[in-house]
Amino acid sequence: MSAYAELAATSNFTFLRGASHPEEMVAQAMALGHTGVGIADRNSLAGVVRAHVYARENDAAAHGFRVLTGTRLVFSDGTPDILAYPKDRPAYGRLSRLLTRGNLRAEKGHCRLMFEDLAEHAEGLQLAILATCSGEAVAPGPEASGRIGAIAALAPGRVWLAACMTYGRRMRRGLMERRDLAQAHGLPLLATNDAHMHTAARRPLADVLTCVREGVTIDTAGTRLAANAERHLKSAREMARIFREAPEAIAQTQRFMAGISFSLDQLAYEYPEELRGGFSSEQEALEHFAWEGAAFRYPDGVPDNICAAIRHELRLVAQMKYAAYFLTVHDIVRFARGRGILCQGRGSAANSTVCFCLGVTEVDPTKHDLLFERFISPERKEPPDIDVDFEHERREEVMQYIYARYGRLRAGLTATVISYRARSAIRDVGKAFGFSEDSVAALSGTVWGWWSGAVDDSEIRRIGFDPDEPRLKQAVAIADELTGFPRHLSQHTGGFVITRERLDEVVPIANAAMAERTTVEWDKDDLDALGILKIDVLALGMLSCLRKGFDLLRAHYGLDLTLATLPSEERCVYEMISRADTIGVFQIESRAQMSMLPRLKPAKFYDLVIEVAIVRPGPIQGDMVHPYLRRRQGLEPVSYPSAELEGVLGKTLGVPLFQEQAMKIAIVAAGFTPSEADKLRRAMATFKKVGTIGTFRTKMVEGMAARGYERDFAEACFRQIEGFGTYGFPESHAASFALLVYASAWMKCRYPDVFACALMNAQPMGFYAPAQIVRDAREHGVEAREVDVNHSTWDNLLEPDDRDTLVLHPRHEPMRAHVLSCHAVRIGFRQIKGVREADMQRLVALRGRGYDSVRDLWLRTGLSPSVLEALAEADAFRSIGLDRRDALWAVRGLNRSGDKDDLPLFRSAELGEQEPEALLTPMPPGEHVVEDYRHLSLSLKAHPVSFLRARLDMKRILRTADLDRVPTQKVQVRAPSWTLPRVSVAGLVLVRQRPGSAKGVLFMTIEDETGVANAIVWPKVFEAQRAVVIGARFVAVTGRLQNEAGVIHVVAEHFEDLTPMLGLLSLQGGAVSALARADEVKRPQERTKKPVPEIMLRLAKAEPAPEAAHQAEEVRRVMPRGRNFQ
Amino acid sequence: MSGRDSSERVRFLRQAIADIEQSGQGACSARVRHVPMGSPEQAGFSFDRALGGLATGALYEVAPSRMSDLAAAGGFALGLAARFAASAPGAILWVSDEFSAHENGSPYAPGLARHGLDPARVVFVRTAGGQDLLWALEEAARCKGNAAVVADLWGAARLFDLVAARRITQAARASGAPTILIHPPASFRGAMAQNGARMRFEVTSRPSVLPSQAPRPVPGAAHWGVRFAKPGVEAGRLRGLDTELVRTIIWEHENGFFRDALSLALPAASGARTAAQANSA
Amino acid sequence: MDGTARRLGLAPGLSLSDARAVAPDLDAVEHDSAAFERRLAGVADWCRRFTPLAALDAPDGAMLDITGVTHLFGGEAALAREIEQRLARQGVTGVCAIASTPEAAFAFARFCTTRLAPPSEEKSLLRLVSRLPVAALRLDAGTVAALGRAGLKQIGDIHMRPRAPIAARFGARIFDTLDAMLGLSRSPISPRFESPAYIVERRFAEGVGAREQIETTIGALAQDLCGMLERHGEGARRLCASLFRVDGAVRHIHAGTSRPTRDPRALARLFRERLEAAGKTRDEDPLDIGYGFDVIRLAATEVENLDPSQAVLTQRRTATAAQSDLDFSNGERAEHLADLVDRLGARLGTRRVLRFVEQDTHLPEHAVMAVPAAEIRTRATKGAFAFEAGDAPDRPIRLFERPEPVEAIASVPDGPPLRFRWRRLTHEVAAIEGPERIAPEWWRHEASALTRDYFRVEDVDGHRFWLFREGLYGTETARPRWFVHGLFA
Repeated sequence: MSAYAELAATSNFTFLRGASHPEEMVAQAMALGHTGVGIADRNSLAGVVRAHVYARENDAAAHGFRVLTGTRLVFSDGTPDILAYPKDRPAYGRLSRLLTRGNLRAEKGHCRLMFEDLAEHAEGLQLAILATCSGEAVAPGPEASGRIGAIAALAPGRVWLAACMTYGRRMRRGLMERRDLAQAHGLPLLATNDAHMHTAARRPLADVLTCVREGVTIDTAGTRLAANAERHLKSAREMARIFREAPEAIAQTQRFMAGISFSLDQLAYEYPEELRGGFSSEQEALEHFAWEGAAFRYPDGVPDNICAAIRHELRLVAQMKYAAYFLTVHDIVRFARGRGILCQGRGSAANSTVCFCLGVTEVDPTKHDLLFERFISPERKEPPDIDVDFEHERREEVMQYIYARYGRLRAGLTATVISYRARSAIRDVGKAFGFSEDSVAALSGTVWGWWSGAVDDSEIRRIGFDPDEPRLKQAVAIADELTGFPRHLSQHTGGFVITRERLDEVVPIANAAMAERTTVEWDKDDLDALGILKIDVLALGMLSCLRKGFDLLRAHYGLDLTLATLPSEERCVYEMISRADTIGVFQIESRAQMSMLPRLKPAKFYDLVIEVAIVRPGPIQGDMVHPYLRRRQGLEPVSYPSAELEGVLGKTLGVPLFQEQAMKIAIVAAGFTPSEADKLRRAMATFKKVGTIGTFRTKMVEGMAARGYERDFAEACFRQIEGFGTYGFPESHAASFALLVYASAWMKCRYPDVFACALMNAQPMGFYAPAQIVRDAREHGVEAREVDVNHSTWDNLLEPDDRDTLVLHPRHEPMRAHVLSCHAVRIGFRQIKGVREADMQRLVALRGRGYDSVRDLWLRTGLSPSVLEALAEADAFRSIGLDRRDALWAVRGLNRSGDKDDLPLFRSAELGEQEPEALLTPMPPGEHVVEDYRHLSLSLKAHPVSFLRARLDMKRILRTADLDRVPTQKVQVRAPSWTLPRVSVAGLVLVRQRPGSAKGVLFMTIEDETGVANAIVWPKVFEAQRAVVIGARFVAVTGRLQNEAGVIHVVAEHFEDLTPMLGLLSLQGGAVSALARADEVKRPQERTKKPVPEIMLRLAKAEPAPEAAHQAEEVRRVMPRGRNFQ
Repeated sequence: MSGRDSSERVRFLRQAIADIEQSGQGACSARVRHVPMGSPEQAGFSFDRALGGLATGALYEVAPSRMSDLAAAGGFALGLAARFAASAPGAILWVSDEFSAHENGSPYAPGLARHGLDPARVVFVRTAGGQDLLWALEEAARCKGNAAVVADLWGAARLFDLVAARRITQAARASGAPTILIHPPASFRGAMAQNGARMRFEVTSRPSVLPSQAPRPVPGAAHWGVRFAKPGVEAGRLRGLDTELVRTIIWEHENGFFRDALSLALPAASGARTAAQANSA
Repeated sequence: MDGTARRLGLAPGLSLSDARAVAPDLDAVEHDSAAFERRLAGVADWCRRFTPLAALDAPDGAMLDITGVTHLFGGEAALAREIEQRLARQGVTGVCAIASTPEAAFAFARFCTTRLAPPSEEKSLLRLVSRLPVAALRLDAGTVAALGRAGLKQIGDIHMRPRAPIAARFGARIFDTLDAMLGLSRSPISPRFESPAYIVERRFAEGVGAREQIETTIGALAQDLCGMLERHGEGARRLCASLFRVDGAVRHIHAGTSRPTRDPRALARLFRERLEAAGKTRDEDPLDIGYGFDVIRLAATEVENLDPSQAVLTQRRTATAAQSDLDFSNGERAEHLADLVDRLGARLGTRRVLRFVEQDTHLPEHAVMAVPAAEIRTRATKGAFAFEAGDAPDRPIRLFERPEPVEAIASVPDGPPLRFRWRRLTHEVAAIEGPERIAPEWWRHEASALTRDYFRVEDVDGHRFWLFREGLYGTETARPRWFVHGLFA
């Protein structure tokens, strides 16, 4: 039997065409006993690394099996498709440059190649001309066959004519023609099967992919689908049989392979040279910078233990030859610091002493026991991993620096492979099956959460489908297969590849979605696997917030602080965190985090590290959270599964919480080698791809059981690794984040004015809307002032506050001694929807001593009336005596043609004088509040609910602030619910959260004029009242009040949709008393009572009977709909 | 034969036709056109030289030389229809009856398209029986909206007497719609020999490949052996119209022309014909 | 929004995913605006049963000019009631208001519970109008909102204030509409009614169901119509008979004449033929008489001066204007052909006069659909049944409806037939192409479907066949069967 290798294997990195993973292609080819496989994706090298790695990890070479790196060149000028395989490294570089040229010529995701491009890069390539011509432009004509001679001439002796026998309409004639053609041009004939899948069983999936690609349904796709399933890998015997009329073509596959010596392993990575500076070697440069940094960090002399650590780490770096990598990071960080851009490193090596000295991280290794070895191990041959976060608004500067320093030829963004998730898979498959839009939505809606594998039968039944219906069954099965398929390449948010020589000779470069960005075709795993340097330059909103906060502290308080010099370990900060008073604080502001805090009661930095890591899929899936909490609260003794694991789990009370710990368990307790553990981690990250997870599970669980561990514990550890896989959180990351947690908490605790102002100026970010941030600031004694044309700037700003007493919400009374702030926040123009920064800058620049009328502002700034209208809508003319309604009237009264020449000043002024008085009725306060929400998303005047309090009182609905005053006996853990008091509260829905990990429990946060309350909704209640829970914007919750360790929840039993009541808001003419009362509640200890604005006191004439339904709908739309999180 | 000869013959032919039309009973309203069967660009197709092109408004008959050649006869008839359709607008109306469609297969549009006939122009009438078929055929022949009318005479052959033939001939003459009948084999006998059909063709399948070629070749374009089977008055007037000669022709389905198959060795083909005659006898 | 939706907690403006979260069993149908418009147009059309002067009032209404017809229905209130009730019977929730100006009727139908507005000269109209929201003035949402923010929410707020400042800020059209609503001026934007100049009708207490009765009625109407035409010296070129079915459906039958005509018998005959033709194109109840028609109306929609001197000119115009059902390239031929198709269809049945429509599928027997020629209004796209040129045809000219079994000798697994026997004749294969493998459509669940391997085969005599082997040897079946599916030319 003659040997065979498929040289036209298309993987699913030829998106929506290939129906098998590259790994599957390799595995199948090996199983069929082929001598190799050539992965040739369409104008791309995106899939070859995976095939290569799979072969490497499965010892393919030992079986005499080779994976060839190549591509299927598809042209836009009518040239037939060509398989191109580089013979050696230089030829590979040319192929990569060829693809790069095609990529850069086309828009993102496309590649436009011309024959001339190939002609220029053909040296060293082995080519096989296919019979198809699948390029977009021209159909193959006589010209296409005419090209064959030209192609043959390009690479004498290196061109084959490919034939494939896939049971089409003219199989025999086709073969004869190819044979004649080959003869005529003196080319050898090469057998291929143009395989788009590894087995024929993938035909349904391949057909569905075609449907998705063409945007048609399976019933209408017709001849766009393949007529049969023949384009799969076939055994050598079968290929020989099919090609019995041209047996020489089979033998040529071996000759073709023999000509190729290139392997991806030859892409030895070389670090950029310029990092060395003036030093003779990278290591020397690094040592210099490290000691220089150490001297800066420890001006009073570097402590001995630090010296020892630095020496130790440098030795390790030298041994691993990682100096250049550290220098690269250092270079970028140095640039950022020079520009005043706040940054913070994280990742496996970021929290080393060297990195601290280099300024990559601000986590002081002397204060926190984080061992370098844990993050960088000689066993792993991959480069260390350092991600650097930058202020999100200024990261672009850093990226441009990298481009400028290394040039676009040497620096590019790494790719991210966007893969089908269960949800998107069922959506696309459903569409291809022609399910109605809403059935598709319903089906994909059954998939919650980050990681859930397939669509669940019971879920399908719940939404009213029969999971046994054959077509649906098929769709679900195909969707399951599709899950994990790459869908397209996207740019990684900030991962950079930097090379010494031309980057486009290492990997093809393509245009990214953003102009002026280019990405490579490989993602970070691919780059890791080939040992290519990458560095993540990420954007982090909180860093912007903190930098703005530091700036404000410098400007208004004369404090010059940095992340490193922040007063560390202040007790009041931890106390604040322990009270879950963390709105706006980095990472720990979500409901889930906040409910954890009072139980965890963090008291030192490492507690924050744990806090950051614990509310993650890994620990939750592994059921590690509650054991840890119980141990922490002293409800359960600390014990270790075994003595050998005490070292691993010591810091986390015997419960594995970090990714490293789970990996370590696999090594220590299950007998994995370090590289196996690493393989396991990677397998998880690209889960369910090759079906090897089952073997890992067995190995781990059995391995641990064999060493005497409980099976349950082993299973839990494995589940945890599964959870990490998709959303891993190693300790070093957590440590870096914890620093930002502390910094933001410190700022919030000490200078709530600065914090709120900085946070609002860094929006959009985080969990909460500006309304909640302002409210929280006010509760911490910060005065918030209305946006105003004569006072505001684009950004929110701090103004001196002349009040001499701090007005705190009673809840925050314990902080009285710790709050140091003394400024008010003036809301900035940026909060107004629909105004542009440039316009507002102009307004500020021309303000002089202030504007005295709408017309004055208009004439001086020349801003268009629509901009003025936006300002009026935002009620920003109060300082010139106009409320929203009057200001709008005045703006509308300006000549609206916008052409100033046709408006002599005097004439329009004259007209203005002559205009009869319109006698407008004053806008009722409730409507003002609604309008505030409409245009600013927040209102400083009053809380909407305050206007409705009288009605709520009648319904015996409590204020949220009253909840902690409801008498409850100190509740024991798991008290029977009937012993708990039953209460009702009402408020606007802020957040609904249904974490995938919480077994269908939904958390709802509502807000009234006195504060927020949290409701827990069990699935049963949720199902019964779904409509209200999800649809309502204003809702009343009735249920049992639960107070566990200071965390107050209402366990919901019943909901009432009060949304229609909001319709009354804009009609609340006589509700001024309600407003006054709301104010009272909000500022109970305010000394100088601010008068309610006069305009609000002007009593509105009773307005005519309401068209209530209309109004309610109107207002409903304005009010925030509540943000949904998973 | 010389070019001068042939052009003279064409002129003569045209005159003859004009005479016939003049003498018609005033039902003749359509102008007769002549459509060449072969490509005007190539050297004259032998049929054109012999017949001077196909006249519109006339009746044509096609029959297979044996039962198994029915599909070939149909293909040839469709070739004629395609020639007419190429030179005039209008539909190709195809009449067939239930029995014939069942027995011999019904027109298959994708195949028609490949045969050089635009299926979008085909209107297919499928009658329940022979009576209806003849009625429909006459209606169709009378209609001025057709570029050509084709009929599978199969089940209606028995009913197709001289009267019917005359009616259809007249209808075709009046409307100008060329009408092509596909007969069952061996129906050009007896009295029917004298019906008003302008021309009759007897068609035999011919191999498209050389015999005993190895390895086994793939089938090529349609090859037919065609014999003019119209002895009698008109034929007598036409010199050189040999009713015994079987010419092997090819239908160029891509361009829609007939052409002589000169390249193929004839002995094998004529041998096949003898066998065919033996079969049909 | 109907009551059910409201009870479920749905509201307009909800996103679908939200709505679904609220009511998971929700069946969402994409808003088919075209269908909605069609339905609305249908309703407006139906309204013409009450008065020919009825027009679509987009986006959501219809406007009827009922001047002088209310007595037919027992007064305004009764008419309004009847319209609403009849609509309800058709499953349409409609609100009907009657007022002396279109603007007021528009506003009352949408924004008020009062259905019969007082006449425009009455004070009470002003009182009622004052309480309507400003949106009743047909203002765009932006203007309504802007007015609202100025505290001008109801028409009264605007009406009682000085006009100049408001007009300067929100446009003078507000007042134009307001004045029109109050009957003080004529509206610039009221719906345009177009009604044929010549129109006659009969109303019946009970639905008329018999074809003869309809024909007789149309005959009688034609008499009346021709009388009218004669008085004006005109003849009809286009006519329309409208049959209003009791349950709301409306059937229009159009007829054209080649020259201006006012011969009642000719017109009646024209419609008789059309009615018959209608009977032929639909095999079941052709006119779909259902509960019968209770209003039959005949209108001349296009007339021309019937002056003998123009006859020649008219004739010529007819020839060029001729349109036909079968859109072949040449107009005149097409007309003939359409006639032929009708004649053949009439006698043989429309399902026997067919045209071929390409179907996009690999399965040969499904690749074409024969459709009654009468149902195809336009020529199929040229270039249909596309194929790769260059080879001998790969599809036969004749296809057997049922593939005929043959006995064939071939090698396994997928070798070509070497010899086969069909209809008692043995064929020695001389040339082959294949196999062309066509796998069954896996998504269709035809349980027994097997993969087919098609072969184009030429025997030693030059006969060309399309054979297939059914079932993949080994995986699908142990004994594949052979069939002949078609014949090549």
